[in-house]
Amino acid sequence: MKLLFSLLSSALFALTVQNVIFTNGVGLSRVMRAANRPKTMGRYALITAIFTLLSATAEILLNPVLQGNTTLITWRPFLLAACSAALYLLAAGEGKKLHTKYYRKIEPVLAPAALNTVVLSIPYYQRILKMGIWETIGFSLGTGAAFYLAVLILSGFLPAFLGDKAPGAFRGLPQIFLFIGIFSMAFLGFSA
Amino acid sequence: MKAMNAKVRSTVRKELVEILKNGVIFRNPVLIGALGLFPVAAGSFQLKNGVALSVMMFVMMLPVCVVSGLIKKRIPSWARPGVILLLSALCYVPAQMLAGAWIPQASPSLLLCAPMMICNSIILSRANDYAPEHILPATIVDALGCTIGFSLVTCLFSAIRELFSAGTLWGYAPSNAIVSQPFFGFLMLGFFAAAVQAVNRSRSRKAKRKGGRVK
Repeated sequence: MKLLFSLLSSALFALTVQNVIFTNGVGLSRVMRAANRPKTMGRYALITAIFTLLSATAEILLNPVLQGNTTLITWRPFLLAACSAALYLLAAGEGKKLHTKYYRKIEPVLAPAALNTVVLSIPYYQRILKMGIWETIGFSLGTGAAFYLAVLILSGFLPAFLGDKAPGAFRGLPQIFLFIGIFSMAFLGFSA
Repeated sequence: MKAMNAKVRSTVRKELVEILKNGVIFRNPVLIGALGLFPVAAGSFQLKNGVALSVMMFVMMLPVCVVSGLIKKRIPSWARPGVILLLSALCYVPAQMLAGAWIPQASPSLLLCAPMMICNSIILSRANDYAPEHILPATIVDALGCTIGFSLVTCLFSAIRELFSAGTLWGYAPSNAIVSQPFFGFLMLGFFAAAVQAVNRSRSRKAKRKGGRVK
């Protein structure tokens, strides 16, 4: 029961107070691109959540090795990125071999969903926030949900941003930036 | 024959200048392409940070794009993103060391932004999508243009935010001021993107009047 509470509270924490997307601005380039293709956003968010979890697992496994070695600690970012790259190559290679039909469905979103700032930042958050294993699992799943929420919100507003109601110079991307800025300010209210 | 060669050379030079100009301003990767937003919004609140991020971008972007352009289609397209991330991670180590040696005061406040340069979407998208489809000189010029474009935005944002928060440039670490929050970065991005969009719209209006097309 305690573990479940820990898992759920971490997921909620990732969705609100420590929302890495809106509060910290992590991975918004990917969110914007995913919002342009609303049909794939569920798959996109699911793959992001899975790779976030795997990336956090890599940090848990690497940490004891890195802690005692001053040379290797400089290479930590490289090693974590290498783990993510290896996991992606494994997933894409195996996926291509085993489940060709399903793989064709996820192929367009696999690389951007598996290799992005959201996925690679989780090990750092894990260290900064000193999370345990269950908290990390909850945080990773919560971050996947936060990604889905961000894409859902942005894709809903996208037609309005592209419309001709705003002054010409602000049409499209500038409006999206302002919207994210205001939204990000609102999310900051959770942590204030 | 000589005249033809000179004409071809001049056309290529013009094209390369156009690619460079697009990367720096008209198709700026941050303000028009919406790429590499995290370091700009979350890390650029102090000029030292902006310069450190720019140095890292200079060290990482060019080698990654050149190698990606050289290997072109020798590796399957599904494996390319993974290989590019690996290359980028490899270039991060010297980039971090260089930035740390030149601007040691910037590193602690870039706790999360510096390692995230590995998966900076400007590097990943240009190396993955642009480099394999273009000739090497175009790839090099595009990488340089994007790097200069990113650096301009990062340094400008950092300078403005440091001025707003501390009233100084290059020398004061702002604490938890509002301007150092990502949302302020996004609001600034909105206004700067609008400015570049206004320039682009006026260019395309002028080109239409002349009966041409903006490159």
